[in-house]
Amino acid sequence: MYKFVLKRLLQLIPVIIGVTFIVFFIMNLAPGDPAAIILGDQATAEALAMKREELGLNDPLLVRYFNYMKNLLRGDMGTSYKNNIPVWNQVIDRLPNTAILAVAGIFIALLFGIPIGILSAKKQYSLLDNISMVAALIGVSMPNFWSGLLLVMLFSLTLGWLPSQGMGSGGVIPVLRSIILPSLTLGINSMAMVARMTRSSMLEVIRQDYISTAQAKGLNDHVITTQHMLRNALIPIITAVGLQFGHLLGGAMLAETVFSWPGLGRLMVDSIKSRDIPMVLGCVVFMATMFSIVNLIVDIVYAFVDPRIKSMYKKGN
Amino acid sequence: MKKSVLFVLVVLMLALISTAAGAQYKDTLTWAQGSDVTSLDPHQGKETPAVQVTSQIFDTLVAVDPATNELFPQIAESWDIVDDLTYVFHIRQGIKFHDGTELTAEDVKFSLDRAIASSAVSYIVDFIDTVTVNDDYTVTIVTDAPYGPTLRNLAIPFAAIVPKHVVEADEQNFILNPVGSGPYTFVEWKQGDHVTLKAFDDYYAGKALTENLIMKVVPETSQRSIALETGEIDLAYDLAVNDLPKVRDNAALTAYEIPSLSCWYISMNMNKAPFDNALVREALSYAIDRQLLVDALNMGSGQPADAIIAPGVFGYYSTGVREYNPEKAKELLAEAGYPDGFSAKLWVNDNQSRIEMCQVIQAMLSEIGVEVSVDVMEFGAFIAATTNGEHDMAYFGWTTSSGDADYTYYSLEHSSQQGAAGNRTFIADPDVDALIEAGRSSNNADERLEIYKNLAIKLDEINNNLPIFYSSLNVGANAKVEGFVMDSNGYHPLNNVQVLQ
Repeated sequence: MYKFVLKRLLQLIPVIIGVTFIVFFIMNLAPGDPAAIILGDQATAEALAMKREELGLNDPLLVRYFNYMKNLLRGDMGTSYKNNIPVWNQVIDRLPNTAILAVAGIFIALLFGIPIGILSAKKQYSLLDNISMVAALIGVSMPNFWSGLLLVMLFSLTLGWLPSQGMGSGGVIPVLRSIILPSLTLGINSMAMVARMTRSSMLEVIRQDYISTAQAKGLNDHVITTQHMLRNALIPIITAVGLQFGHLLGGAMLAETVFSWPGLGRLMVDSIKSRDIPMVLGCVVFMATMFSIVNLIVDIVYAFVDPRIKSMYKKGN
Repeated sequence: MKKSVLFVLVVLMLALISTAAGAQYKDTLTWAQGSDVTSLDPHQGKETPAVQVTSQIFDTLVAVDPATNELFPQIAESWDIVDDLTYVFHIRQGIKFHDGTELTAEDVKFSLDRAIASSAVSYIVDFIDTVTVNDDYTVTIVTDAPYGPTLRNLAIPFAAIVPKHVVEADEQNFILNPVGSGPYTFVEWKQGDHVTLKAFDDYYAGKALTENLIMKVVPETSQRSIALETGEIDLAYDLAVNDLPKVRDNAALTAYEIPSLSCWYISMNMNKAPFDNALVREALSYAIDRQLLVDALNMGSGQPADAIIAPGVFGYYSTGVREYNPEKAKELLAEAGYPDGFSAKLWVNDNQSRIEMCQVIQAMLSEIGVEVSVDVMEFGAFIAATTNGEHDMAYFGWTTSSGDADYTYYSLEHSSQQGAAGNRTFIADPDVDALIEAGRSSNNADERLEIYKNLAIKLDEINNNLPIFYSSLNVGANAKVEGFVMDSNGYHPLNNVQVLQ
């Protein structure tokens, strides 16, 4: 098991190299001179030349990439083109905000998504099933910048219960109050995914012979549902949840914008617009790492759910 | 019965007491803007969202009163213009930085030298040749050449005075924890979320009226107006024009609006046919219905333009907005040798309102037989390509941040400024050059106004840029906000603003 984890962690290295390589070259080959974008359309030619020198844009591309990687190995992610503040500090500043939002979003998705999925599967084609699956379809299809605004109009503007934007500060209560609407917005999307995935995965299991056996043994329904059906249906659900969580950790850019949430997604999009290459790379390195770690955790969780997979890990496959 | 009478009496008494105590003001004012501060270093962060915050923290030698557009002394209490090139500034004694140290001539020299060396803001102070410290409270500034807008340029917030000892000790720390001499001290910057400021007790002009300021970053325009309605914020900068009527109609809110110093215009590349032909350029100018564009696309916010500098700029002369006359435009085209029109490209960067503007202009030009394709480009690519002169026509916005005509005329119309510096029509006209040079080298205000009048008339004949409209700046406010005055650059001062409880 440890060997497996170690192997997976080592795999992170080529992932980071590949991702930074692609992003570095795309950012640099895209039209538009970072110096011109930073200084705006009122900059003089001398100022532009000065800025390019300052940013080290005059070196050949490969040399710059090599230097970047050299510094990255030492843990130095460089400083932002825009404000000269170390990239590390700015990314670390935003990371907890995004993480809180992602956890809250996934929590809401699981809290509602799994029970809805189970009920729908057990009462297939019933009114409840139809309603919840149509609702899930709507949930998946609604863009979250729109559902977010609707929630704001209801809960902030009309009812005045919750803050319309920003991240609360000064204690747990303000933070919790401010997180409800954005996490609900994100949760609705993921919840719908989780519900549909739970339903289809449960339906596969329900028809298995061992379920009939369990019912014939006279086991009570609750035990059959949780111990026999759900447990065997969990693998695809865990995969879906892992992917959703990875996406949320990557920063839910639109929801972050709608709710003025100071997260990683917004930072990255703003940085792409202003050609702040070190900042974009910094965000990407973090996102790729987090995504890989979430995937690793998902794989480890498989082992606990399914003994067959556990024994595979032990053999070192 | 008795009980209820007593209750009414108590309520009445309480009401009387509260009115007798006079107006109560909140100790915190919160405003929202669309983007975060880029840099808190005033010699680095020249973008409006940054200056909206840093202009509360830092002062300049002289400043411009937003209400009257007049210069007034700030860190310098007076100045002598010794000759065309030499200015002597007398620093106000006893001005303190937020760390308690006194501001001296050394800090002024250090700050201006630092601004000159900064690629971001040097263009505003690079007319300065040397800054010399005479004594603790006197500084001499010598310019390269006679430069009329000297004082106005020194009033731009990018020429802020910073404490030498703090910056020299640890520049990285200064960028994160700026120390200035302005009305507010820096408390906290949570990136992407908010900046907190606190009134400076020892501010030379008296302590600011509201104790705390909070700037919140709210990127969505609709969210800014919602937060204003819910009372979460007191001021919302830059509301969307379609949210303005809602704010105006709400008795609990106030909409402030003033003309900005920004002009939106189309630059025609004079190096390319047929835009090298003056008749063609004039024809296109007659084909655009500017009032319709303002009314339809901007919901009446802003005004049609007749020059590339806005009416609020020193040196503006009104030649009259070009009338909309497609018939005349067709005649001019025929005279120029294009009776059937021609086709060309109009470039614009990927901003929805700019694209819409170009699409309507496209339709107007097609009325006179000029078939224009609107090409949308990403900002970086747009700037790079127009700098290289690859465009036929391109749609731009320009702000005369110094409030002085030279700032714009020199960059956009002087032959030495072709390409990156701003002249993207590639105009090279000796008469225009001569007028611009005369305007910038004169210290005599009346003489300068006369020069800029002649220049405006000349440019109106050349039509290398087609001015479309001047935008307005707006701020939505809670009706309880008192003492708020807008600045035409968007750098709204907040030290005299308070909010009723």
